[in-house]
This record gives sequence, structure tokens and C-alpha cells, in this order.
Amino acid sequence: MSDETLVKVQGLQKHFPVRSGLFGRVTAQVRAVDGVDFEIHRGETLGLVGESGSGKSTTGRAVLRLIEPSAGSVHFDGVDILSLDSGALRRTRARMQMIFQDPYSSLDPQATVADSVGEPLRVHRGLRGRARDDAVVELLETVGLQARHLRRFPYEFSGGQRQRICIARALAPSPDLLVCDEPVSALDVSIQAQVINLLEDIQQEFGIALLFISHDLAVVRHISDRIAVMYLGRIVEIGEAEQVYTQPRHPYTEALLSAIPVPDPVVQRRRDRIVLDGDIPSPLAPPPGCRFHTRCPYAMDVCREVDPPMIPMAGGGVACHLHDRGPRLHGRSVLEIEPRSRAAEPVHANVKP
Amino acid sequence: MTTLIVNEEVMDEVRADPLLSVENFAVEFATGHGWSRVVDDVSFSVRAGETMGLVGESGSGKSVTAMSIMRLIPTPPGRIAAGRILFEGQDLLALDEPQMRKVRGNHIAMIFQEPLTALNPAFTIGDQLVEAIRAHRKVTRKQAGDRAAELLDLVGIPGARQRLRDYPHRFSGGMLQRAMIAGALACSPKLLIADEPTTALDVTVQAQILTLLRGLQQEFNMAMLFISHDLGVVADICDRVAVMYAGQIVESATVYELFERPLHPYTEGLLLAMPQHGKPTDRLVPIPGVVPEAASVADRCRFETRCRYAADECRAAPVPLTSYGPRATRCVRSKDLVLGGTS
Repeated sequence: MSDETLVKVQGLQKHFPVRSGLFGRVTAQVRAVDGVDFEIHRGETLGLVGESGSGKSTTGRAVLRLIEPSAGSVHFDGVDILSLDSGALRRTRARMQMIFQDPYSSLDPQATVADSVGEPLRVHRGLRGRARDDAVVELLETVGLQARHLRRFPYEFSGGQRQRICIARALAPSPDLLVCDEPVSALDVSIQAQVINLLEDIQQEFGIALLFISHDLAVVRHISDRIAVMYLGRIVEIGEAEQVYTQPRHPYTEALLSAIPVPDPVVQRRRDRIVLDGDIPSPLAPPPGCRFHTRCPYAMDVCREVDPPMIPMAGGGVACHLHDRGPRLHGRSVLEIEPRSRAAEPVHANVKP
Repeated sequence: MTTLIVNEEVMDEVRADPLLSVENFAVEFATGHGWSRVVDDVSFSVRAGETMGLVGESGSGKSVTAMSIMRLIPTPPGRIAAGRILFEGQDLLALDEPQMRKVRGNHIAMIFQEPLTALNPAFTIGDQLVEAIRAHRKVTRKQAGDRAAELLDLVGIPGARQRLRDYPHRFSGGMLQRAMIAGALACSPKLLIADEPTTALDVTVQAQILTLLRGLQQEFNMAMLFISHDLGVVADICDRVAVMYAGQIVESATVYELFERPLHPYTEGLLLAMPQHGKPTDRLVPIPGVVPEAASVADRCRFETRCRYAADECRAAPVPLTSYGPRATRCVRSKDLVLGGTS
């Protein structure tokens, strides 16, 4: 890992039009991603966590320009990829690859492993025939498969093995960035650990940066150097993995952590729990002010009116009024204060100004 | 010492008659080359008011077991090859379909992983609840409607009476699961079978549903058979747990004992593979390999091919489930192995 920036995302927005009526007029906009900024350093793993509808997958796709962002910029190794023409984009894409959640639908069922993994070798490195197969075997061995798998079809493999094939294919053009969209969510726990270890090994060996998208904070904490937490199209907190997990600064991060059951009944049944009310509001009409205020146990008047800016902190930042206008946490953990539902005293009581 | 107190409670319950008792149960499915046994020699019981967890990875047979209790396995291609399923002393496998209908939804109810596919999109939530109530109770449409509103309110849906008129697509995933739970509770069942009820939900919504289920269970003293692949959820809600692997129960114990000191290497393997295990910087400890075809390991311990403790004796013969007081394990080496749990 180095401090050299590989990816720089600024003001990224992706709005999907909702069409209705006879002429398909645009009647509303789904604001899937609504102003997201982050950087990925060379060789690091940035975890992107959030629940369904938070915009994390859309963000991942926009970084590779698999979808056209509505606004904002994405710089990859200093080049604005949104300005590239299709030829230049294709050449750049060799250096940024993606693996998906469902290893069943992301491989062509009629293509052998040699064809699937060999395709990027042909396109990007011009390898054919024997040379291509040799390169494929080398990649298969890297991901823990063998040469005898070369002529097999996807249906002959288990879910974990298919994800290995997808990883081999993504590695073929020697990328600098690998976007992993829920890569282990469809796998059983025992297999999940195999694939996570493989991703860590590959990163060590080739120095690839990972954008690891997942709803599972425990997995993300394990694999990431830094974590960004998304809610309703925005990053609400970003920081070092350990800080986000143990000293969260945003109430949503705290609630998310509290909601993940710990696989130990003694610990799990003694924990303080924050059960949030309701569901994530619709991204068609995000709430005014802070988007989390409708479910936030600490919500103040200002939260209903003013959209909190991202306040830079050591190792990252947080978008929450508790840090600038409320009890003035100034970047300290939100765990230091009692939510209103639990505390009789006003929120300010426990916190030094 | 929490564990000791819990042990005493469990021993009291052991003496009580179980509500549901599954005995030496086996299910087979027809394949291109004969019958394939997907559930084999499964025995467990659920006592009134308790939550029994059935945990395992995909293909372990946990859902087939649950569906079989409700007699929801299509036959053919499936068939029940052996065993008994006693509910309040009566063998459900001996009932004909009309008799079974009186049990289903009435004494035993079930909720599923995908609430959206379990509801009919063409009828309102209210219609579907009313139908469930009127299937088992002789009440008027009006009375059933009142009861439906009461149920939606009970499961925490605001504005219950208005929401009865909504179609399923108007509900979020969490709300749909609440509506499903309302339907399941319609006839105050003694047993609720919950098949991965929170797997399709976001974690914050999962926390809501688990809290709801726990509350309702205490309120109605309802037993639950809770099927899950998630050890965290199991740790949260279950009193006792049976772990399934390749169609068999490999270990059963109280939830505290199971996590603190597993007796089967597969249970240990699952705990070690969790990313929460150990320090966050530690390398994860996967279980090597994949689940084998049941037929290929029929003559030995089914976990032997992936077990770090496998020895010659493990390959000699199929391993029976052996009881040690209230616990049971299917491991021939359980006496000489000291396995690691959460403690």
C-alpha cells in the first residue's frame, strides 16, 4: 500500500429517471448516488458498506464507467475516465476489473474456463492458442485451480470455484484496481473464508487496489484498510477500518454495527442494541436536511433542516451535526453519548464541550 | 455462572414431553440414477415455547427437513424414506391431506425467506390474511377483517387498518415479512417454522424482525423451529441448536454449550471461518474443500474429507449420532478432541 492516489472520485452523482404515462415522460429521479467523494490509494482496500438502496453498487459501477454518471468526475491514475473516447476507455479498462456477487450468472454457461479466462488475454494482450492456454493455466493456479480444469464448463464447478474463475478472469489483464461487488455474499461461510483469503493473497502478490462493496460489516472490517459507509446515496462516514468498527463517528454506523449479530450467545445477549425504526426512505424523495434524521436516535432540530457537510477528520471524515453543531464530538466516537431513547438527560449532558 | 443455570433449565425441559419430535427421518429425491438421500437419519425435538435452531450451509438438508414437517415436499420427485414426525404425539406422516390441512397454518405455521414470493401479488394483504383466518376459523368476513387489522398492528405495522387495503408491492421487504408473520400468527399456532426469515433483509431490518419474533414468542408461548445459515442470528435467538451437514445432524446442544465448546469439528470449523473470529488482522480459517456428494461418503464420516482431525477410524464406518447427556455429536473422536469455541 502507498499514499499514491489511484482513483479519485469527486461529486459523483447517478440519477435514474423514472418514466411513466403514455409518452414515457420523466416524472421523477431516483437519486441512487447523490454526491460521493472518495479516493483509493494504490494497493489498498477500500470497503464500501451499506444496505440495499444505499447506492454502493451504483458507485462501484460508475467508477468503472459501466454506467454513465449524471455528474461528478472519476480520475483513474490521473486520467479523467469520463472524458475518454471508447477506444481509450477500453485500453484503460484493462487496468480496472470487476467481480460480481453471483458467480453463476457472470460466466457464459457455454464457454469453457479456457475461453472465459482467455478472452481478456486475447483482447488486451493479443494471446492466442497455446500461449493463451499457458497463461490461463498460470492464472488458474494463482486462484487455486488446476490445469485439468481448462476445458470444463461453469456447471461443473461449485459456487466458490466459479468465483475463483471470475477472479482469474479479472486478473488476466493485470489490473491495478479490482472492484468487488458483494463477491462472497452468495457463498457459504466456510467457502467465503477461502475466497477472502484468496483476494488478500492476490492483493499482496500483485499490489492491486480493491474497492470491496458489501453489506457485511464484519467481512469488510476484516479485508479493508479503510471503510466508507453509505446511506441513501451518500457517504456518511469514512475512516480507518479499525476506527470505523470500534469508534464509529456516525449514528448510522453505530446502528449498523449494533444490528450485526455476534456469533457468541454470551456476548450477543448482553450487548446494548440500537434497533432503528422504520426502513430506509425512498431515494425518489430523500428526506430534507440529514438523510438519516428520520431514523436517527440523536436527531436534533438542525438535522431536519441542514444537510450536514462532510467534516474532515483524522483518517477520513463524517457527515453529522453531532460533530459541528450538536454536542460537538469533534470527531470522537458517537458511542460516547447516549441516544435520547436510552438517556433521560438531554444529549449534551454526557459530552464535554 | 450463566452456563450452569442454563444447564439446569435445560435439564428440566429435557424431562418434559416435546411438542414436536422428529425421529430417524430420511428424505430421498429421484435423480437420473436412482434415489438420492438428501436428509438422512435426522432426529431432534422442539419443546413448547422454546426456539430450536437448525443451522447449516446450502444443501445441508435443513430446508427440506422443515418443509417435510409441513408435508410440503412434492412427491414425486421426493419421497419420505424413513422415520416419524410426531406433533403432540401424533405422527404427521400418517395423516392424509385433508387432515394435514387442519394442522398446517393452524397448529403449525411457517414463514419463508422471500416474503414477496410467498404472497400473491394480485390480492391485497388484507384479503390474504382474511383467507388464512377463515381457512381455520368459522368467522364472518367482517370479524376476520378485524382480526387481520389486529394482527398487523401486533406485528408493528403502523396504520394497520389502512394497510390491509394495500397490495404486497406497496410494502417494503421488512414490512412484508411482518405481514407474513401476522398471517402465521392468525390461528395462534403452537409451533412456528421460520425458514431463513431474515436472510433477504438488511441487517437493521433483521434486528427489528428478530426483536419482533422474540417478543411474540414470549407473549404467546409459541415454539419456534428457526432455520438459518447465520451463526450470529442463531446465537441471538435460539435456545438449542442442531447443526446439519450433508443431510445429517452432526451436533446438537444448547446454544451456550455449542458456541462455547463445540463437540463436532464441523461446528468448530464454522465458528473459526467467521470473520469475527480472532483478531481482525488474523487470516481467516476456511474449511478446506467442498461438501461431497452424500453417496461418495456413505460408508464413513461425511465430514471426513474436509476434517483436520480425520483419522483411520473416521473412514471405517458411518458414524452414528451419540448422546452425551443433553448433547449429541456425530464424531467418533469426540472423546479425545478438545475443540475451540468462543471461550
